[in-house]
Amino acid sequence: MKFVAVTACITGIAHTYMAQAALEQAAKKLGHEITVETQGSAGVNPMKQELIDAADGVIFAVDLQVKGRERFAGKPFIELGVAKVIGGDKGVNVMNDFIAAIEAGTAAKVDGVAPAAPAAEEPKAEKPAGEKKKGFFGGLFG
Amino acid sequence: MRLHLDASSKKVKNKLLSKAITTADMVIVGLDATDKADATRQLANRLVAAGRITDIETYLVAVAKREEHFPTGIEGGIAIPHAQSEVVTVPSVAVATSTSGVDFGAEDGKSNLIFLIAAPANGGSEHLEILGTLAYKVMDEDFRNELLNEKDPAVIAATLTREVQK
Repeated sequence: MKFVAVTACITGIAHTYMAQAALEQAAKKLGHEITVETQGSAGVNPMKQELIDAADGVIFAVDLQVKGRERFAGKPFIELGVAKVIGGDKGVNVMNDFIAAIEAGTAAKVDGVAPAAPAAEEPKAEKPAGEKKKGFFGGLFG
Repeated sequence: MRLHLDASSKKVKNKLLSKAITTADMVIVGLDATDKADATRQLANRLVAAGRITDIETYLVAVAKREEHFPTGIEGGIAIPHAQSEVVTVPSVAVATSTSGVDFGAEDGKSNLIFLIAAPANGGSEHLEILGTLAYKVMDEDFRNELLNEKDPAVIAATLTREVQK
């Protein structure tokens, strides 16, 4: 499966990045793909919308609100505290449970209108959402 | 992974000496601490001595506050206490290895490898990125074992610097 994830912790210094590592390790171990967007104090590099569009599920490992949550609208997701994926087999267990929920069709979906799906080829179509995001992330630091 | 200081890591070390996140004098091998407050203070003392923080009490309060929110001990014998504060002058990390371990609230027991992270309040994002890279790297078991098995503070400092500031 393909996953995307957002990690964010209170100080944005350590757990954000530890959770990134934990999720990447879990995906590798289980033979899945994952792209993690770290929303930490070092800033945010928003992941490409194509990656989100292609994902089977979204993992929010966050102690804060996800920045730009609307980008994930309509996707099956799981949301939990950042520490819940760090250490031991936690990341693997979270991912396994989430996969089971996706396969059973019981996973919750991110609120909002899904980004215009297959028309993503046309860059213009994504412009408005992209512009909005810029402001969003600009004010993130600190 | 090589434990030794080879030519390339020496070069990296020299190049970054002025802002290396850690140096041998910020590393405690075989830490003997009664509890996490004691361990944190011993490590913070090293940061003060190295000129990385200007006011130990202010910094320790910030670290303790962060610990209260959620303890930083993590399964696998690691603890990563940290704080961002205006009394931090240079992004830094003090490191301790401890055979007996210190309780940092990890679910599986004591922590044998402790990283005390100090981030300046107004750190540039590239500095914070270095600390983020450290946190990321700490999740690598081979890397942790490499640090845990090393007895020479200079090698621990060089290993850390090499891995997160390349």
